[in-house]
Amino acid sequence: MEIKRREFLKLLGGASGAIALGSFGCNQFIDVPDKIIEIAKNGAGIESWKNTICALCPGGCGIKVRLIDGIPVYIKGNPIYPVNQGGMCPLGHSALELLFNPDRVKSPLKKIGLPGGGKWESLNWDEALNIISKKIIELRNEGRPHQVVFLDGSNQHGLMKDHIERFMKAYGSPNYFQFPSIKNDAVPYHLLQGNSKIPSYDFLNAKYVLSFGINYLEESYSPVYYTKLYSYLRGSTGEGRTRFVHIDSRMSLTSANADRWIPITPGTYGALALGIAFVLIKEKLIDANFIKSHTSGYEDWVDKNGIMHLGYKNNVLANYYPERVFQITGVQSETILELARELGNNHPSLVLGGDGSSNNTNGTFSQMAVHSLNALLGNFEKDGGIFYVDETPLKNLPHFELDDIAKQGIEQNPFGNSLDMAFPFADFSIQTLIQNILAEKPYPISVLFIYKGNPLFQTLNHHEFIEALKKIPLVVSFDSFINETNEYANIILPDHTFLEQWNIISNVPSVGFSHIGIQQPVIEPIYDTRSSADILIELGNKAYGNNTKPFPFEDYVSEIKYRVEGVYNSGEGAIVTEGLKGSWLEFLNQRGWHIGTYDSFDEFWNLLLERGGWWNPIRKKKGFSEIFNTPTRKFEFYSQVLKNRIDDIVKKKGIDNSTHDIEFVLGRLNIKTRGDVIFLPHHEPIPYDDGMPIYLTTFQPITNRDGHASNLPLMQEMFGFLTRHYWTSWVELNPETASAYGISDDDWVWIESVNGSIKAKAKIHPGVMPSVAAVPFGLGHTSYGRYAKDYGVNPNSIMKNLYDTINGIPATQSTKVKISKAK
Amino acid sequence: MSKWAMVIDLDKCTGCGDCIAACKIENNIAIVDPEEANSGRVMFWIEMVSVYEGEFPNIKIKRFPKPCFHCENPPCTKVCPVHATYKNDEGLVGQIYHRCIGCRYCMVACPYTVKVFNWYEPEWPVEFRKCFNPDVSVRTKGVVEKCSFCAHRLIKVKEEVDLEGRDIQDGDYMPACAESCPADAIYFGDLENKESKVYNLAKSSRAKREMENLGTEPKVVYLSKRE
Repeated sequence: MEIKRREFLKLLGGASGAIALGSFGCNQFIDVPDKIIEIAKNGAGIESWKNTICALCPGGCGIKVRLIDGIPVYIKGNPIYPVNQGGMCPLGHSALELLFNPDRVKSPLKKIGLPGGGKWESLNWDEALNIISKKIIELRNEGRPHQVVFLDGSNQHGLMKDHIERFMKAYGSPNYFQFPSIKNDAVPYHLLQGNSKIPSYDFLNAKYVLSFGINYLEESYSPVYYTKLYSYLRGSTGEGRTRFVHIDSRMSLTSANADRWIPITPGTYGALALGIAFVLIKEKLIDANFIKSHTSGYEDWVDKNGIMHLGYKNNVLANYYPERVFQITGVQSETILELARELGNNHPSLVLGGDGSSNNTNGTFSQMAVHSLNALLGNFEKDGGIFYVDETPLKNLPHFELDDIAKQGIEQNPFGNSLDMAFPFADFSIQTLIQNILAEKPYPISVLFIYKGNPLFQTLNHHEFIEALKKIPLVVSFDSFINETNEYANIILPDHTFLEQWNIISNVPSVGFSHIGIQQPVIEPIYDTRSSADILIELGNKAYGNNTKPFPFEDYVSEIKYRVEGVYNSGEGAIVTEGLKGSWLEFLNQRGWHIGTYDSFDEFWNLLLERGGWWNPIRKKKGFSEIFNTPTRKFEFYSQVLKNRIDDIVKKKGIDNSTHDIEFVLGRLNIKTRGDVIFLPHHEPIPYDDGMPIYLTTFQPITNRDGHASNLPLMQEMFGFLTRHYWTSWVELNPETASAYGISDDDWVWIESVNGSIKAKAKIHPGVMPSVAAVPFGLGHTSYGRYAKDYGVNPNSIMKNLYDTINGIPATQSTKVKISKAK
Repeated sequence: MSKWAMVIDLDKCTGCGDCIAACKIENNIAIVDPEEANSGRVMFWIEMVSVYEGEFPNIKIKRFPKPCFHCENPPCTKVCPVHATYKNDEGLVGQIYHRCIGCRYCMVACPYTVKVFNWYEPEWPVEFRKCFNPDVSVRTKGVVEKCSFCAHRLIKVKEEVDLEGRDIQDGDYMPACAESCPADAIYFGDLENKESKVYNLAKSSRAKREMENLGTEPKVVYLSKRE
């Protein structure tokens, strides 16, 4: 029987190749004869689409995957998913190269020979899991469960965190750490507001947006969400259009798109923010009412012992006058005046910082300075200001009674605390981890689990980290690839890629509404891989001898289904749907209606899978007492939180508050400032090396982010699509700097620090500050498969081993170098 | 008869490169050897052009995505000795790969330099061959290729509306780049349809056409407030 394509399509009743068949079965709409299905499989191919969430960056975009005969062939944005509204970034498209990557780990592997030697043998799953469960049960029986550390580098904001946390707690270890840690990012807000939440910014209602180093169109939590907001605002014509001004040492994607780019000397963002504060205060462009009622430490003040303390205002007026700030930052004093006047006169105006301005030894203090401008302008909980989204109404995991071994284990000192009292507010610092493993303090580590991520590639302390990894008896890695870190694992348990996996992504930081997105398998696993979440259920339950179960679920998907019931029960928000805007939902809500009544949870769940997610754009208004959780219940210019912590450290160190002890502690913390100023937003100089004339700064191109996309050939090719450098690194230099060193475009350049040197091709353009060498991060892999290995250089490999003094974030912008033309 | 055109709003475009990635995956475009790529043989059907303007520190950057312009009066079709590149009734400039003899006259004739040549047999690992787009043929060594405005999508859309017994509406036919742009900066539609977005945007005071003086009448129009 010959069936013409046209007739076949008519038979199926519509939509060209886009035949709406169920994803698992084939005949949900009409009864299609098997014969025709077979013909279609060999001919036109049966097309179907499935919604899921992209996991290639923390952004959490909804995506639609096009399947032909069940094989994914194309990915586009999910137009009804509110985070990205159909938009995507280059990374998302290359997810297919992740799924079908020839370098995927296809079965469990066991290290043979020397660590890092690259020799592996295949195991079957039972063998691999037996080795691990034997070891961890043994540790529990010996009362040492706390010697297990779990590093989660997945960089995803969803339910996996709670899942791993439950595993670790029930097992009996306080050592579950995420990196990069959002709690670290939130430290500056925590110090000023006592609130560890990442704020959201109401771009849509702001007249003026001033950003310090934060590359929100390319590097931040959700670049596509911000691109959507940005292009919407840029598309509006007329007088009232939001004006964007961006401060950065290099013309990043965000600077290039801003109405104005202000180049600045690296590491001096805080000084510029306070220079702007100087003008705002002098010219009375501040929100005096807000400052009076809801802040503390603005004016000089007297404590309960009658001692006078310096206030924010007098500190700024004495130290940050524009001429001095020009000396520090290289930004002309007229420019500082202009910025402050624009900021103070265009209400509402917003100030945000991060990335380039935070990845320094003085990052926390700089972010405090930047964020203090929002307090001067009274930018909290108002239109065009800063706000906080509500938690999603997910059901908590069922209560579980820990046994005595677990109770004792979690009481142990967490491994993340620094030995030499550095980083007093670090949630997790890789440097602390390395030092503690090497010193075996407070206790030795017996098992290290690493879930995705590649800390060894990102670290500034490469050699010591390798020594630390070698020291741990059992390193188990859950990953789909062998990367630099996994080279030192004893066992690799191959995970599914996100296109084969279940998960829930919820409330991506800085996105302006609460939401959940469903990550569901679009294809059956193509290799012998297993979901890490399911493995943790098995290991976690086994540790309790399967009598009482920390995870009373068959598998991870039952667990997330259980938790999503909370969303169904709450009756809040709505499943994402076409043409439903936030304002319309709000309108209905005010009149007592809500969208979507579902007959049963199953109906809710199925619709959720079909559409891709749930959101609630309606936000509960929060009082200032809710967002300012400081001792004074106000925004604290003078951080009592920081003061109390440092006092505690000093107290632990000595008997009295002798100046000797204080000096010792501040010296260890690398804080050069003394007196009250320490606790106020201030500019803390970076300890550069003498004789090194050039600032080394790095940035993360959107096609690679933190180095994890180097195994995707399309992203390697597109790595430098803006500067036309494919599969390779380059160094951006200002024409003035280049001519001073006799360097021309496309010359090879040596970049040399006290720690070593790297070679890259010069790209000379005026979009970078003089005396700055800007090198993209992401390439320079020594492992990670055929597409990643030996392409480009890793700038982190020559950086000094420096960290933010307060939160322990690697200071990737704080090294100075020499440059020279390579012969 | 329709006349398909693209309007790119440079006031909204951020230069993120999503269009390039979407295009490469949709059209099964080969990834060439890294060294060859850096010597100018990289294959993008749409690329991102950056031009710096002004003196430091008052720098502005002009950045625009550049697909094939599908000229109404295309210089490339006139020089092809074998009629491998041609303009069809709907204004699309097409490329017939198996007819192309690889002389590259069209590449020289194109003032916008949007055509690329397959210097090598495209190579993919076996695994990647599974996820080719079945609607687009894979090219061979020695042929010229370029942006097709995703013409294979038009064929599907025509079948679709035919079955539904209606005309093509604005928005039915979208190339991959326009569909996935996160900045909503790429519009696509029919210049003959007075209701279409592109018809109206192409008449806007911000509309600019590249190298208009050549008389090529490009059907990719840029919108920008800047000169």
